[in-house]
Amino acid sequence: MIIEYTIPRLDFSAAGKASTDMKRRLTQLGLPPALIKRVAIAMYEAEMNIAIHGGGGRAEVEISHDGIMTRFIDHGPGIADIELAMQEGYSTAPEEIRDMGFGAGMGLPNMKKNADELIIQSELNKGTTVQMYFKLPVGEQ
Amino acid sequence: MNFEPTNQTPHILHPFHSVLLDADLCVGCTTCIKFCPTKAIRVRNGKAKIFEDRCIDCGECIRRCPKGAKKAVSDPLFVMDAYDIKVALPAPSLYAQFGTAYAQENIFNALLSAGFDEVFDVAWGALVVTEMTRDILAHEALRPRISSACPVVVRLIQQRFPSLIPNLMPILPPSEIAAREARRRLGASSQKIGIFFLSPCTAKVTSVRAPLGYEESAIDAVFSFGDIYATLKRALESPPIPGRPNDEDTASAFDHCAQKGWREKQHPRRLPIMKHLEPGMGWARSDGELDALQIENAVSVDGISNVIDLFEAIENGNIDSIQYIEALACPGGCVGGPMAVENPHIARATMRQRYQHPFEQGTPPSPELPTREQAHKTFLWTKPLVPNPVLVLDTDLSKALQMAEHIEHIRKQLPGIDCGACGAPDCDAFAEDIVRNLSSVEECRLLTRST
Repeated sequence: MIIEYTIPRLDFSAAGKASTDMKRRLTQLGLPPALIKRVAIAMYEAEMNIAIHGGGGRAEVEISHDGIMTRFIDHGPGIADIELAMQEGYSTAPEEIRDMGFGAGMGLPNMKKNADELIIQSELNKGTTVQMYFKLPVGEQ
Repeated sequence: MNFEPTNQTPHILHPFHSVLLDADLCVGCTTCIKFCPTKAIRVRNGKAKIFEDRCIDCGECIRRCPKGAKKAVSDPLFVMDAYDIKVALPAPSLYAQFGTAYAQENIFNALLSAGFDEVFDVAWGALVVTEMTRDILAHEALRPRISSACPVVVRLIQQRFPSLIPNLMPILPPSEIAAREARRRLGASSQKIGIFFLSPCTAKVTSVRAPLGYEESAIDAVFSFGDIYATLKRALESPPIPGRPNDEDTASAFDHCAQKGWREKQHPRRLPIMKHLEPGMGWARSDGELDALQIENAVSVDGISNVIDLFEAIENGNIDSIQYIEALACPGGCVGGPMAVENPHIARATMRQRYQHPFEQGTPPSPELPTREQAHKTFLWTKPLVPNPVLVLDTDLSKALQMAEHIEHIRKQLPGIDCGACGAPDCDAFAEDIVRNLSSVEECRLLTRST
């Protein structure tokens, strides 16, 4: 099953909608609460990234027996140095965004921490695709 | 018993829920289905129907129903008659039901005139919870911790936010703590002791019958404010009995009365009126628990939809800096409970005015609180809280996935305007009902109209 979401640019009231909707769906599937929470946190961070940095974009989530594959796609400025962006506290968010309490530089590290696999593809001035994979644990409750 | 029978509250004893539909009054208008936070109501054949496995007793439908067809159910007052010693356990919000004209002592007195033999304040239990909460926050690292005092919040987490179960404080609710303590203080007796919780809260009625986090309640029955209101009000307004001492120390005044035989009681009172309960009394309104707790980075949230929004945010992981959350399902806190009588805003103001406690002077002398060891031995949860799987489509993941796909397929064909004419609160819920065989696609008025 594939679910699609659009993520508007700089709309913080809409940020978290995808993550909240996905939580509801995963709860319906009876998946373990701890896994659902990991997916929610990682998806929320990815949504915020697209809203703040990516100029808006979209997300696709594919749920199957094996796992949950999420893809976050934007056509924003891209990430110049992915390794640097992965460091905790590193942020390119502008002052006004930080003043709102966002852009603390924990986005990508948090996604890495919560996803079982994280793949970032980015090209300057073309955009960024973030893929996060979550294994469905067999027998975990 | 000095209470007169009342028709205010229905007393149909139901094993698990304290919210009930009066089918004669229901016009099938679909208002309630829209506001139910767990989507537990459907309209079928022109009448609302509550899915009992989803209802968390929040009372939101009671508040919203324009026809008054949703009723709070509590215990009938006559159950008191079966007990020799009748103990009233007033919720702090009871003291906000009669305006600022009557002091705590007056209401205490009125409860005795109304037929109770003893009074033990739930506010005392709240003080105990505050001490235990401080202790757990000091010794455990998990954040944010969530108050478990509101039974609706506990049920909501169990059903919709199971990942937050470990964040709940595993402490008995104040009413339960007060009930156990009252029993302990009264000691073993050949007489039958009845503990009666006077409550504004529908969910407490359910909690007493089906406790969460502990095996059995020490409370024998829950009476609604509505049922006792008129009797108490009359007692408060009646002139003082001539010759009755008008002593500031009401406890000794009562004892004096008892000795002089003004109240012909078989049982001399053993529980004195308690003083210095102010921080516990504050729990009647939102912010009250935090005022008592006095810790940094604590948040209070009231109203069920605000609670849900905050919990969604916690699950998204973006508010880790918060230590503690006071979450109350009713607007304004317990004073906004479905079985309260006074307007919740007035009640809030009354509580604020009467129980403003001077924190700068330090904690008031504690009214015989238990030691840490005693509290942990007696007042912690004894049963783990498990998730309520009512939202799960099927325990078999393949089947659940199949159903989820089917729901998604149907939902895409529905108009998506959430009109409620099918009897479900929105198109998502309707699609799910169809796949669960609880409804059929023909119920969609818009689809049938266009074909």
